[in-house]
Amino acid sequence: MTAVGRLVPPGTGRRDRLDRPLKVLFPFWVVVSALIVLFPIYLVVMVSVAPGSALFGERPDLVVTDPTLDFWRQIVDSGSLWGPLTKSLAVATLSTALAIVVAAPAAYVISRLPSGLRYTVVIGLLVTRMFPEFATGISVATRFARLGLVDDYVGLVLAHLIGSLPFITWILVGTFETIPRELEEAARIDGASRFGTLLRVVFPLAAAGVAVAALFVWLYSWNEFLYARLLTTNQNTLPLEVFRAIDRGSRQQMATIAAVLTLPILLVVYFLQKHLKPGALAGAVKG
Amino acid sequence: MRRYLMALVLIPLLALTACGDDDEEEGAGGGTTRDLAGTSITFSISLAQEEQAAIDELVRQFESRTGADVNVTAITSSDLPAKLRVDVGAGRPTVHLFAQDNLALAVLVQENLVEDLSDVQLPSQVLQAMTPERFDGKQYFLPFRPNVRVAYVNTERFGSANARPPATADELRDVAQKLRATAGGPKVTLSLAQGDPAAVTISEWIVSFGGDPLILNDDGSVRAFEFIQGMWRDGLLARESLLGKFDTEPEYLIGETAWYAQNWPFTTAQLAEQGLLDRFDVYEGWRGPDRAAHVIGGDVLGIPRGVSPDQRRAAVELAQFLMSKEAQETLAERNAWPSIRDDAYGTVPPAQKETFDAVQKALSNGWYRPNVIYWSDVSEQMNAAVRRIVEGGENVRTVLDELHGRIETAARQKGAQYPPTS
Repeated sequence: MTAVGRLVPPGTGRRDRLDRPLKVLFPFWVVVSALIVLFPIYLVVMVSVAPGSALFGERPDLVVTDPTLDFWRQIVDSGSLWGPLTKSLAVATLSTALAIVVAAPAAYVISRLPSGLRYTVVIGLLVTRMFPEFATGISVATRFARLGLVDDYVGLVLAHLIGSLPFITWILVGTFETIPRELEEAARIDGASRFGTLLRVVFPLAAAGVAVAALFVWLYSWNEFLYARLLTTNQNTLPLEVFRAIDRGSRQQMATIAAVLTLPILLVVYFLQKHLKPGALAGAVKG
Repeated sequence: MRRYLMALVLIPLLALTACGDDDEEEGAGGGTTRDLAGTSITFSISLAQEEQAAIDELVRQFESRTGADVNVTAITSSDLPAKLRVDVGAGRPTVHLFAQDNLALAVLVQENLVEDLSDVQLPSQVLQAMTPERFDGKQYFLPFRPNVRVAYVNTERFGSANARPPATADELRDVAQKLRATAGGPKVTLSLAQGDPAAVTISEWIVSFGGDPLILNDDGSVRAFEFIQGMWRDGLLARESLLGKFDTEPEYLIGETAWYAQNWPFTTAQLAEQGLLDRFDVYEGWRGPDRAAHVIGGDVLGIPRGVSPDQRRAAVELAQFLMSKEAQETLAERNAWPSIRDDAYGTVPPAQKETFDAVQKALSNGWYRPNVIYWSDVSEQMNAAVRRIVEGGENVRTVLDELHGRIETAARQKGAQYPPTS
């Protein structure tokens, strides 16, 4: 046996044999997974530009050969979606900003608690999410309505925080736990104040986790239906408009509104993607 | 000369009296006073986009006549109970008049969410059959928009198949065979899409065969399902039936997937819009061995409990205006909606007269789905029966006995009397 041969760990040969087919299969697997994820989005967009005759009959086509923008034009011309779009955007963005402002410091404090207490608090946070939202939604909404928070952005933002705060606090506790205390101590030794340490050292390192949490709150608020329904009389949000189209509209109207609901999500994910890279914390504690 | 003078006085007086009667009956909404100025109400009605314009126009008319400010919003039928629970519970109703599916009323009364409207007089021209169900002798709801399915016949294709519009269930089977022989495939659709469409279709079949959908395993129900199962097994019903509902049936008719189908009358407006109405005959449809049965769908009007007296008055006046001949004519003409009145079809386009004649005949054999708290369970089991018996080919009696048991359990769990008293 050669020196080189002795240096090769046992089992490496088998891994090499597996590597080649995996390398070949992996791109296919990625493409198939992507297609499975993207297919419903394709269907929504396809139906929104399909003339009625393309959707019915013996075998509806999966490709529209004579697309029409009639349904998009109808929606733009009627202007009926601008109000819901504005409301959904405003509520989702405000909810996200407020949730991060409240949850990030709370999560940092929890992450620095002794482990037993930290575990109890985190479990306590999750317990609030174990009850079906519908069971508590009507009681909560009734109290909000008594305060005059129906058709009010503040009411909806606060209602969305009920659902999102425990979850993103939990996410952020995990993020802050991965940031070593040594970094904070080093910053303090270098003369940074406690607040300065948080602002310049801890939170920048937690940016990836905060971005994930922000995306979660934004998507939750953007798609939220229950509180939007209970606390809205006059100005619908987009999910309510989608449901209305399901209830009384045609398939193309429903698909067009659903596509409008999807587009801002793609934009938000696009702008947040640079913060969503895996391994954002790697190397933070290198000597 | 004295007689002449007396006639001069009496004739205008009689004319005024006649006008006065009419105004009184149509309610203040039809008047010209602006006595509701400063009162603001919200009217919830869930509409298809193409139906919105006519309602908006009527509301603007009402506003200009009464001075009230009416905001129109759309809360779907399934969302309304939860919304009213919040509003009424908070003591701050944000909806003051609503149009609601006539099958979703029991929960609103049982939870004490709606005002008693027994003091509101219905116009005398409202058809007796259109009067909404009373609860404990009280009138909580006012008639607004009935709906009933009628049958559409592709005349050219029927001609080539030497078939005539079926008048009975047996004839429907014969016609389906002829159409299949001519086309080489099934050309009859039933609306059996999951949910309400299947429940409406199956209800009509069961009742027309002498059964009761609430029981589901009585002889009439069994015979109805055996009949449908036979047609399905023999390839007489198009597979598209499983997706058949209010918005797909017009497409089936237009695309000739179906040469014969039953659907709601707005189909007529869609066919007219495509310039295809002259290719179709519209009639009330076939009857079963026991009777003709047409589910009466549609919306009624109600007022949430706790609205202020001023808003209640404005809401009642708007409701009366919507029940008036003028408003019902507009809705029949513009939206092809059947009317609660027998005098509201004067202005419908001639091409749509046939549809409204069919609607009137169908309404005369109308059947209201019972407003029981466990109707959603009945609907669910009827849907299960379609999947298992029609699509799956399972034994009719066995499946219906099992589904009957589920309905009975659900009804008892919800505290309802079962079997129901007729």
